[in-house]
Amino acid sequence: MLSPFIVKEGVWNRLRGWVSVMGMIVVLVALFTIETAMAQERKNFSIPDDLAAQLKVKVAYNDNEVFFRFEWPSEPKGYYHDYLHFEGGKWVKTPGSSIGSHPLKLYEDRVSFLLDDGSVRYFNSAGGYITIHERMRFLSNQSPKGEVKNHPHLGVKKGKSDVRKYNPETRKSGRWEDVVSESELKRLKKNGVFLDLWMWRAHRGNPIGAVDDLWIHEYRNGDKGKSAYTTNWDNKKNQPKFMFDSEKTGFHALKWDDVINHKLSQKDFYFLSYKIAKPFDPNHNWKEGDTLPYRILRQPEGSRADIKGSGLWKDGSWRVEMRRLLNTGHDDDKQLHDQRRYTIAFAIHKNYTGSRWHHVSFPMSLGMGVDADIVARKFPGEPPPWDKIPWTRLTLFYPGQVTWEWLIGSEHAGAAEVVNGHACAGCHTAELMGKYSVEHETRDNLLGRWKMTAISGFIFVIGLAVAGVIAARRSN
Amino acid sequence: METAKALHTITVEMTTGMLVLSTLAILILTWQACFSGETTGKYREAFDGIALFGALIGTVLLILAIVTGYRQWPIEAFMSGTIAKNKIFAGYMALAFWGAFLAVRLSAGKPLWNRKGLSLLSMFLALGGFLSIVFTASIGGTLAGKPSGFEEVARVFVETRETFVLPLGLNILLIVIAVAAPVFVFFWSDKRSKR
Repeated sequence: MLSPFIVKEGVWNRLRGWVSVMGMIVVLVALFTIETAMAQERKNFSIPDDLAAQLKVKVAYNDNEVFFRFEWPSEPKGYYHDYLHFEGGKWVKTPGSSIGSHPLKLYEDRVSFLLDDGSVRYFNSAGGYITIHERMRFLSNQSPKGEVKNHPHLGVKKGKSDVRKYNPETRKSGRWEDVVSESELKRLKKNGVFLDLWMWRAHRGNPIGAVDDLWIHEYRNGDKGKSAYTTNWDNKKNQPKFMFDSEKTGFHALKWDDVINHKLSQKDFYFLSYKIAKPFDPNHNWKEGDTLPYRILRQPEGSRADIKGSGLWKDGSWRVEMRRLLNTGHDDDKQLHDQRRYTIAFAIHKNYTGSRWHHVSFPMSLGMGVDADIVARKFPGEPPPWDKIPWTRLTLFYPGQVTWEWLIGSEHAGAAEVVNGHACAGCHTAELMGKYSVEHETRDNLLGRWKMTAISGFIFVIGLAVAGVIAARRSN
Repeated sequence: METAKALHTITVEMTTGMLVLSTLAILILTWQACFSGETTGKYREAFDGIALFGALIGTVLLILAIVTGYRQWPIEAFMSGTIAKNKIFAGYMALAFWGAFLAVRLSAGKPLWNRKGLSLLSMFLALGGFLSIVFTASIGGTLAGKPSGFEEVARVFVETRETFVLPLGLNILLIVIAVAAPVFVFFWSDKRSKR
């Protein structure tokens, strides 16, 4: 009865070699299919070449003002940013903030820092990580614009279309949507539960000596007043608003070749400001390659104008100085006092990157004349005696897409330590953080490849064991 | 949690001790099989006993160490931690190597050490298991927040702070070897027996 299903020994002997080969082919095809499926495209994904960066800092203050000095290597010229060029009879805008490095190398360098006086929970242990949350803009899982626009607070009230840095204390849960009530937001701000953000921009501020003044609360807000830049584009007329005033600059427009090939020095007009601009003339004889900056600089006003600064790019490094009143009198700033200690966390953008493609530091203590990671030295008058103040050297790292929710969630082995206020730097070094960030960012693909490696390693050893057992049995 | 930690530490220490003992015995037995030509004797009996006993107890303890290890963190934390994944990988490889050695030894019996080929295979499996167990134990301290310093030695050979993965080609090669080795041995021994 069963005879049709029984393969004769002779037939099996002839076929077993082919069966083995076919088996191997099936395994190879399966592996290839699995690997291809795992290497799927991810949104907003780009890993920088340099996972670490160096930054030097000095801080000084007198009776009225605080002064910061920074220096960091940044090989390419990073003071070009957003342009409009005349091409095929119309004005074409260069891409804005890009995924990773800007494709045309037209995105400004920046140095920025978050500052707190001890009011914001976890900032002194986890630093800027507390401001990074799931579904923020430029993360792989970012919320769609429509979702944010319909949000009663961020969209309807504030007119925003993306989720940016925020303090988790402004949310009822780990979701960006769960903003606390307006009265609670006001109470938190009144109690100083927000972070001050100082941001020096190589293009959108530096040419006119302005430094952007922002604050992190339920969103990354600008301080009250007027920023140092606005857009040079008239949406209704579909043309630039301003052009260069040739009486002041000697030309109406830049040359695209000079911009795209970074031929302009910092002494040249690579930027546009109201002082050197006049209203755009559409009847001017515009030629192919004429170029105008997409941003126009203006004198900032109000609390937004609190910080002054300047930076010079020389010999492949930026040297930047910032200054601000110790006490600005504005409720969207952190006021600084002699003999007090603060928490500060730095970031730099280089290599034509924007948004999250920056390098950040662990949080550090800043002592105003008191012992700390960075000691601000008091001096009389001005300028500060910089030569007498030693540099504090910091290693910054690429932070990837690690969010606050991940850090305190079950996937992070150190979650309990983070919740207990244990510093990130207590378990990790800045030198390795970039690697960990990349591991985290690529974890889905990596986990699949790791499982495949483990399985093939396991099969390899089992194969050897089977061979050994066969040999042993045959010899017995 | 503290009990689980202590239990894990104890099982790891005992596992390492047992398997180191077994490895040493296997190295001596292989050396005898390949170079000294000695095929009998009470020392040889004793070393075989040590190798088998150490591997048996060590493997049982290794399973216990893996079980108690999993109690330290949630599984998702293991799967997202770089060092943790490497530790799991090395732990399972150690289990595979020692399991393989036991299978070969129990199939062949004491005459295993009379055959150079099987002795060398046993030594390879034991060394693989030994290195895997040393690797996994050396990075365990880092995970527990008490680095032993051995991890830095391990990092000379393998970057423990990056998830260990092999390129697809190498994975395929390992599987091909795994399939080819038994087939080859089967045909080769078949031909030998026919002769």
